[in-house]
Amino acid sequence: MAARALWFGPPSRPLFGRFYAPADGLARGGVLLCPPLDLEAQEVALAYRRVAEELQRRRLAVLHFDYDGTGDSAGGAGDTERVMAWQNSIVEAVNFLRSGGIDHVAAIGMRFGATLTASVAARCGVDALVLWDPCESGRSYLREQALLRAVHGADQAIQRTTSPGDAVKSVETLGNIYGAETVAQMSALVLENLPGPFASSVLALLRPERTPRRGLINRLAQENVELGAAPGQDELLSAWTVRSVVPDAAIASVAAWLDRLAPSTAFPFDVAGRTTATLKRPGQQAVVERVEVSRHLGLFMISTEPHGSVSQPTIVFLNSGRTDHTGPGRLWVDLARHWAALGLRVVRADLSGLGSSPARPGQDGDRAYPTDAVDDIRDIALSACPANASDVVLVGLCSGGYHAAMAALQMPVRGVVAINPGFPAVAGESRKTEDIAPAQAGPAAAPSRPTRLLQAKASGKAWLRSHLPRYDALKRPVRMADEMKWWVINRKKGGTRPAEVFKRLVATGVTTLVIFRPHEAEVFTRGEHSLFRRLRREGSFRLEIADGTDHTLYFQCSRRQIVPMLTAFMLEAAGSSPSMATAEEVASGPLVSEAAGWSHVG
Amino acid sequence: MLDERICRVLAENGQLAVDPASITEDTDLYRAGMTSLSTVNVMMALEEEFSVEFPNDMLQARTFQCLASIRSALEQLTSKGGEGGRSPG
Repeated sequence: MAARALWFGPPSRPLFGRFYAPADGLARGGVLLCPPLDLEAQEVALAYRRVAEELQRRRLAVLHFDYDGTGDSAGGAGDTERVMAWQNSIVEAVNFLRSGGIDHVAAIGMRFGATLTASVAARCGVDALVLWDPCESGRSYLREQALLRAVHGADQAIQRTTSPGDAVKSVETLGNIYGAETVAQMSALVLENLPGPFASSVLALLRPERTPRRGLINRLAQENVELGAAPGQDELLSAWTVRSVVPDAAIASVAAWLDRLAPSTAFPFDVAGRTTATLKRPGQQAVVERVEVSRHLGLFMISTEPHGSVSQPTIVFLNSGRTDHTGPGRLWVDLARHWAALGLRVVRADLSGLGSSPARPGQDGDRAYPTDAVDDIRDIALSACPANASDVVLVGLCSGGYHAAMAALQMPVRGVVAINPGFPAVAGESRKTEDIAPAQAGPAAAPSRPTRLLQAKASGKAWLRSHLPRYDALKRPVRMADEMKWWVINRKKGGTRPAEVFKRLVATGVTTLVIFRPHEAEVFTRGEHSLFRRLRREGSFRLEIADGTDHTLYFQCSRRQIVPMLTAFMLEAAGSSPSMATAEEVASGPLVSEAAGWSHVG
Repeated sequence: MLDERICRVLAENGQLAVDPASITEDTDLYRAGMTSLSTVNVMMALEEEFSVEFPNDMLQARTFQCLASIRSALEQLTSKGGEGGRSPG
């Protein structure tokens, strides 16, 4: 069942939502889906879509929205008064449903989204509230995320927890960074200290793997809360969106509970909503965002373009793994708005069955590698740039990088940007081992076994190099033999050889930028060095190795390196123009979630 | 006694791929199957079990890497008296 994508709320600060409702315009009530934050919001997106579809079948109208500064809504994590803005977003969303004639409104909040929703539920007058695996406080959420990031970083050989200039009390999560002010505001929000009652009916689903604090249980007891289990949360929030598993049992119990509480009679409703939003960041040109659907397949797209003249080509962001069109840690949103302000037109889209796009008939959807990805991309390009569908640059990370390259072999495009491209034949191999970073392998690291082997190998090499002056010369025959061995292996093991794909792209005149982190560069180029050397001599092919970056670009240190590379490439593709960015603008870029304030312009 | 309590927490929350009884002082828990998410579960369960709170500088992979590192962290927290004690939220 398709959702209607729209912006709502104050025109000065539009909020984005997906509205699911019975087609005949009659609903028994409304349900608001309040998401978690950061990576958790992306992991939960598909589960929320399932919840919405289930409730829609039960004749309830559902709004799954993004808080201010998150997802496709206006604003950024670097803005001030974040907690108040998120709380106000919930209030706006409830008002939006009620303004459409929906009187009975329930809310579902998960993780910190539950904590936030509980804090404003009474103010909104919600009729029923589901606290789904709630965080005890903003502080507990941030501590969990900090540890998650540290362990994830150690496994990816990322050591830096803060960067020069970062505030000491800021907290970096996977894909985001919160300044000291936001950390303090979040920390002050404690579920057991919130005044009550939250709502006349409250269901709290607690994670069975964790023991809740006594204070929280006592607080919930005062609310006359129905307590239940939230099975499947560990599998849902796996720290890798590609591994998230939808918790069907929990969804069924939540839907049944809300169904029971909703009025039995359906009433007509008619919610308004906008399909465009005009946004402006201080000191930059205004940009216009539009919800669109692809011409033939009805795939979800959001275009972002400058208010004034637009430079070609059109840039198209693709899904990475199962992450939706907002990109890893919202990177595609931030880049789309930044580049549009520099004069470019940018489209972020969902392939079939991912994000907000419908699955193809007979297919399950939710696959990182949809069977018909190339056809999807062709339809997206045609819709994004109807006058000349070949004047597009396809941009993708991991599976998105692979899809971009494969699509460019089968349809004419101006350029391809593939970041850590996940070619199925080598993707597992490239991700199961990590960077060779002997200098970083301190006691904090908890690397996997292959990582330790690579690190030991690199350490050994460094020792030999320092003790044998002619080490490199002596090693040359070994390297040549190794290269020949991999040359043979690459050709015998079958599957699509990345080097061959890039060679064919260059031959057809597609300007190509490939960005690898070091370990992936090693895996992808072994046995192919001479071909990659030849390609690099071609003006249209560029290979960049980004040291100290992670595969999924969740870490700010990764973005600091890669964003300027991407921006410079796009501006070059568009040709120089006085309206284009200065070198400083290219270098600074939107350092992603630090990007402040995209809000409406009057 | 301390080790027993830690091992019980690890057995219940670590989602280890090995028999918890086989964990020694230096067994690398990440190699034994503990994921980033189960590390968070272990951290929270340890805080509940020992009524402590790991400070920010201990929220690192190495703190939870093995039985010895966890014991060392807990001993630091409990020996500091109130410093490792819980604060609301």
